[in-house]
Amino acid sequence: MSTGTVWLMPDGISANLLTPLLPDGDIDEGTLRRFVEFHVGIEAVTSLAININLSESHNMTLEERERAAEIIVDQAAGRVGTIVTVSALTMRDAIRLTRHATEIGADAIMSVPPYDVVLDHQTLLEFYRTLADATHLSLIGYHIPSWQSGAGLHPDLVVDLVQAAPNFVGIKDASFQVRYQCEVTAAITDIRPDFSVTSSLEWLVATIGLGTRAANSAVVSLAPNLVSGIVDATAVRDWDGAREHTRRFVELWSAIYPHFPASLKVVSEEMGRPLGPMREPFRPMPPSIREQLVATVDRLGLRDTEPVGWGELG
Amino acid sequence: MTPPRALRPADGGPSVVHCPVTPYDADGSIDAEALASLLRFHAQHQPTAIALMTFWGDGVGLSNPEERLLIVETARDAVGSVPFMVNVTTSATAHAVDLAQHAVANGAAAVMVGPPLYWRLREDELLGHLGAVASSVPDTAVYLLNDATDTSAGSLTPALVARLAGEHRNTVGLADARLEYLYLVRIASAAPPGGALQVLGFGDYLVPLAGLGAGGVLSGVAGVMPRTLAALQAAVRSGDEEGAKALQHRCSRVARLVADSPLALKAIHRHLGRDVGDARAPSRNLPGDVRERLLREFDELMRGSDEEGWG
Repeated sequence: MSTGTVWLMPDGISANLLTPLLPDGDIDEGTLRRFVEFHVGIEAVTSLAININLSESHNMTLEERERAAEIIVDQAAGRVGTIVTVSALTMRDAIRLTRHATEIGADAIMSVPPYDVVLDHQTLLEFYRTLADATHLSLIGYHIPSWQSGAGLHPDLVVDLVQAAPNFVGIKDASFQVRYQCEVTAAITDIRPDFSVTSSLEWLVATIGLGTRAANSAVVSLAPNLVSGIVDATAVRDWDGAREHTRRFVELWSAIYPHFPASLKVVSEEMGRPLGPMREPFRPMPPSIREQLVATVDRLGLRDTEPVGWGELG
Repeated sequence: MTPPRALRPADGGPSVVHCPVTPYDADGSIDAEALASLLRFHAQHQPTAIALMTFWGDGVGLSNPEERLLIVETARDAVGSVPFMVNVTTSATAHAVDLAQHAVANGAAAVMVGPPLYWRLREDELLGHLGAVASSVPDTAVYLLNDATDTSAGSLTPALVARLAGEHRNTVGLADARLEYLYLVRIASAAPPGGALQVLGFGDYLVPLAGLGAGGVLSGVAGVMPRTLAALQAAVRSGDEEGAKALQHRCSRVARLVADSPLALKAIHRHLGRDVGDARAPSRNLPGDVRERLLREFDELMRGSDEEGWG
């Protein structure tokens, strides 16, 4: 099914979107649309990653995932790219989500290998080929070896997939490892120079020298100026500036990560953009942890340097 | 007295430290003659330094103290003006201290020490061990080693590194084998007041490490592609992004092919006309078909290069 011009991962930031929820746990459609507008208004954001893990997609029904994708793609209205995560426990569900993303006009789908099982090279190859063949959208692989008992998208698999599926355009690398990024980039660059290997978080300062032009970010929802600062500084090779922004980012991320993803909603609320509760099994954040997060926000001066409230962006 | 300084090239560019393999003769003893030849080969390529007994040099497998002493003494006579550093990571504090002092007595410019092998230690025990080594060679640069293997279970947290660097002014850097982005950024902020820690990454990933602000690399493949690595170092230093990217990709491909195997490195050395011996028990040489595929792929990756012979 993959024919014609394929959508390529644009330079800049792919924002990992949380899912705003109402007190009863339903998707808060109004806030989700506002949340999309907020991100579209950030110059560095060039695409939106939908229904990824921090979106609580594991806790949502297929119908809810489809509805969230519909809202986001509709609200984005082509102003930024839209990438729908179709990761699922079964091939059938992944195909269903893929077809739905195709129908609603998203730009790309993204998937981890099937959860909880370690699959061999050929099985993984067939899994991704099946997804690629089910859509004309671009396909992005999601490398997060900690979820697959250390496996994931080995560079050999990436090479084979590129040769097998013209619409396989990139991978999101959540290994956080210098070595993997170097090895997979080196393996692929001569075969598909426009293939995108994006790092999770804001490691552009390390990866831009390898040819990377994009990164994935959850923090951009909280501190868009900080993240944009990294993008801008690396673009003009202001290494000292980029490293200082990155150091500040790491300070923020170090407070958020131990309580991820619920901590993202806490900080978003602190920044004047409440996104509602998390679904169970997440529980309301204990006051002591909330205080630590608030202290980090204060120490970094985020309320002085970042947008507070929805403002014009939302 | 001025505290010792980190190992940096005179031109101010990133450091590239060569990590040689350890040659053995037919009965498994260290082949001092081949080692001397190999070290001279490394030295003639003018690396920032040569690091002995890293895991590419069978550091963990050199349980016999006599062997470690022999390697240091061979380096003393072979490397000329190129500085050398010695990995003194062992399981016993006394052994690490003895080796560090022997290394310095024989001209080592730096020692590298990681958490003791095999033991799981409390932070105060870790501080005691690492601090004892640093104190034993107060006028010599000390690099802390953040190992990637399970034989070393201690954790060099940024706070612990900062404390050691604050208490021992000869702690000038950290050699990191884990290469995790988050850790590298955190460790860059861990320097004590008024000081700066030089971070060297194990591996050949100079471009991303330089981007993160690291000081350079400790390279295992340097022995089989020293000219390529020197060209990468020069490209990074001069800001030649496209050149650096292409060279980085070549280094990354070879590093992936070798996969941190000293046996693979030895096979390539021999293939290039530099016989540095075989494996010794319990390791075994690569099976013939594996070796042939390795060399075929190496030749393919290095087509057009002139990385042959002893020079």
